[in-house]
Amino acid sequence: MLITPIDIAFVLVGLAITVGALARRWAVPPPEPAAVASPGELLLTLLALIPAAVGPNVLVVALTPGMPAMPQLVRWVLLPSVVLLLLVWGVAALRGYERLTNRIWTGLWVGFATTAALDVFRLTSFSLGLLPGNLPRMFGVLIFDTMAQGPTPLSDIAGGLYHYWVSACFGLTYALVCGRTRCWGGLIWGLIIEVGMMTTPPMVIAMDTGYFGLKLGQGILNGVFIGSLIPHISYGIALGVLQERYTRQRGSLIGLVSAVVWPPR
Amino acid sequence: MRRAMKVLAVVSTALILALAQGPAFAQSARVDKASEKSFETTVKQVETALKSKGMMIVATIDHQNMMKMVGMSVKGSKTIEFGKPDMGKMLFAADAAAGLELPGKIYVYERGDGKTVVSYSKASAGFAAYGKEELKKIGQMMDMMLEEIAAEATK
Repeated sequence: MLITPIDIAFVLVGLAITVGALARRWAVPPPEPAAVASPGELLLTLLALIPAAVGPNVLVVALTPGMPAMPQLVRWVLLPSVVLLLLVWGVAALRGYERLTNRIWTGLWVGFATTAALDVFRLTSFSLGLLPGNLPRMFGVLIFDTMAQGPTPLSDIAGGLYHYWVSACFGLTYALVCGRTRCWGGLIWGLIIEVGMMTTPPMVIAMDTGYFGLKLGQGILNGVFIGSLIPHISYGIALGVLQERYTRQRGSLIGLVSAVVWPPR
Repeated sequence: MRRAMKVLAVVSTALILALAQGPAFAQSARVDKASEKSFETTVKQVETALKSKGMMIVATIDHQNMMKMVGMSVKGSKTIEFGKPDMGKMLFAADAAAGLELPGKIYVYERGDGKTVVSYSKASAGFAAYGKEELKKIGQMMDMMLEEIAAEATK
């Protein structure tokens, strides 16, 4: 079976959360007034961006020639980064940085859940033969270093969790950097992620597609590019729609930096 | 002109003979033995036969399972890689360059007609390229052992 029950289970959970969250807050609530920025909040925001960057990049590093492999990176970089995020979150909650705790929580769960909106199209593209592989299954065997044996239910779960965690990290990055935006902001973010995916080692080297799938020799409208673009558009829209409803305050990271460096008189 | 034609004829005859010999050599190096048992049973029998000869299984590559990740359904096909420390010592003592031939491997797969096949390449064929008498002996020993393993695994 090319699409596994584990793939489907992840999608169902993600879709249930996404649809439930949208039904709960169908109308966009007005943004709350921005809290006063402090150096402590800025520092914790910057620290929270580290695990957000680590999540997707461990795979990029692992598939770059000459770099450590996935099992080492997961143990020594990815898992500690999750601990760091939990610590930052805890400290932010203790110090009463509500804007930051809201952004961390919203970024994570929205990013996690809306991966299902991506997966619906990704799995369809994979079934149609547009995508060269079921990437989360590959993540699983890379994490456990069991490529020769192929995937197992346990590696599929680990791969699926990593796949959803990566999207949670993208959601977290968006929430921390952009704050509350209109829903189309998520679409732009989805397109940026697509460009990242089409130009980094997991696709270019490991899947041997070349930049934007051009190595397939079918021009820019090749199966890999289209089969990946549509899922990322879907993810971006779903992410934008939920972030707009659940991120409470406007204000980007640049605004936070400016407010700390040049506080209003 | 006549001389040139003669040279051309000799060269082309040699080329044809060489091309004809290539696959024939490859065919003689490869051994395929059909099994009476199912794929999984045959794999287990190969593993048991290898262990009974003191072989250690280094790795098992499950091509069928791996191919699922790239959206391809294939019938059962596994490569079993194996080795034996004392044989490795003998081989490295003879010529470290022959390490390329290690570990040994047996390929078990389900053929189009549904039969399970145990395949391997004769070790002697690989070792022949090194031109060493010790390696030739090791190769012959391994050939005999592989033949016995394949016989046990397919019965």
